Amino acid sequence: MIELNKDVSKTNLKWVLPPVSVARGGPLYAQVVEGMKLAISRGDLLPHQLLPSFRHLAEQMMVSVITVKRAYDELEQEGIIYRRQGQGTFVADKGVARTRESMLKQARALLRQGLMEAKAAGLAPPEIRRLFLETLKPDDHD
Amino acid sequence: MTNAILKLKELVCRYPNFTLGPVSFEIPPGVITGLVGPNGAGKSTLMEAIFGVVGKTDGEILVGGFDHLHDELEAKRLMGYAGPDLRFLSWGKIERVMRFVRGLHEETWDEALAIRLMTEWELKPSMKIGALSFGQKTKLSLLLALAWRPRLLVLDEPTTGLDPQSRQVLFQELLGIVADGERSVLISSHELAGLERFADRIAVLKEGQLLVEGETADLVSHFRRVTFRVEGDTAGLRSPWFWLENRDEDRLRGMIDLRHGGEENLPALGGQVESQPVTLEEWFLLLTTAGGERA
Repeated sequence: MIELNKDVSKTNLKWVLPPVSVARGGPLYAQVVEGMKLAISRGDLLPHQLLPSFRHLAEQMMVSVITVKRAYDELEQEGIIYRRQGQGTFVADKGVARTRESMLKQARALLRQGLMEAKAAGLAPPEIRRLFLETLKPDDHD
Repeated sequence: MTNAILKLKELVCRYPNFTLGPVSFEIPPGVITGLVGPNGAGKSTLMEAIFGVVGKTDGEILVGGFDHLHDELEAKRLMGYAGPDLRFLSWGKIERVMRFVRGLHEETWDEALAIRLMTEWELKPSMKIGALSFGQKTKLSLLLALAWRPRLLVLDEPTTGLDPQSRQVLFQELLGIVADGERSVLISSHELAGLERFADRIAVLKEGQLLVEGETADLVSHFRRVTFRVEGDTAGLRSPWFWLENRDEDRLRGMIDLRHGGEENLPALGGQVESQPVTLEEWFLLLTTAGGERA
């Protein structure tokens, strides 16, 4: 039997999620989705941890209720969070794995976009490969 | 939306030089609805009609299910209003008007909220109302409307006299108000960036007519701003889903409604269209300004 972690019901995610800002561009609900994924992948939010209701999270993040509701809907659809009637919304068991999956998918899409821009700039495949390895270097310690 | 907090049915307010409506829309519980429109669109008239400050010619206004005229007392008990009339005639000090409003709404008055707002907005009970600035009077009128926690809060241009800090405080409080899922806010404002962030729904008025009403994110995401070149004939652009922003010979810029036609439906030269998302403010400007003159 899964033990629901309820003692964090008063968690203020204001300090757990990155702030939602128009300056970052893109729909605000997508920023909440991204922020939540980041927090889950880092382990700042744990499986079966109770999340604030979408109305309270809206208050904490200073965005409309509908923004957070959409974010929760999307996260639920992706299987990253789940709802229990009358109990609240929780981080899913497979939340971490699913989050990694979706972040990987996004990374792949960004790499593909980079590839297209490199091609548009007239680089040939060997040059693109070199560019990629060059970009990778500073981060390659581990 | 059967349990709507506010229901307007074919509301019409007719004046010699201006007619509002017919307007129909609903506000469900737990929602902030932003009412936007150019000056003279009828926003204040709509809000004053809801509150009963001005009369209506036709239609129905229901607040929490109560007719705002037949059951005026019940309707007024549910509804707080702060508008541009900040005269506060002969009230003396802040404490006096606060005592009066608290007495009217003793059952629901939230003293902690009143004190919090006084502190945040730097108002003191001993201040003379006659000596307050425009911004301070705005804050006082908002405080008096918020502190008794009405089910429906009707705020007519509350952000006009407020600095960014005070606006932030107001929006934070409004989010707190709708957090219980019971109470709702109808707010008119020209502060579109604020509304895009905080309002769940947006209603657009222009020349007395309701152009659109819907969820904020939906309204904006259904539209894109496009730039392209046309070859000669622009007949295809006489469509209800394209708003021309401006044109320089064969170069056109405008906005399209994706629900009725995509970029591929534009008569663009070589099918080349540059497109980008719009903010609520851009969307509003194009809808209310460019909307009148099509290509």
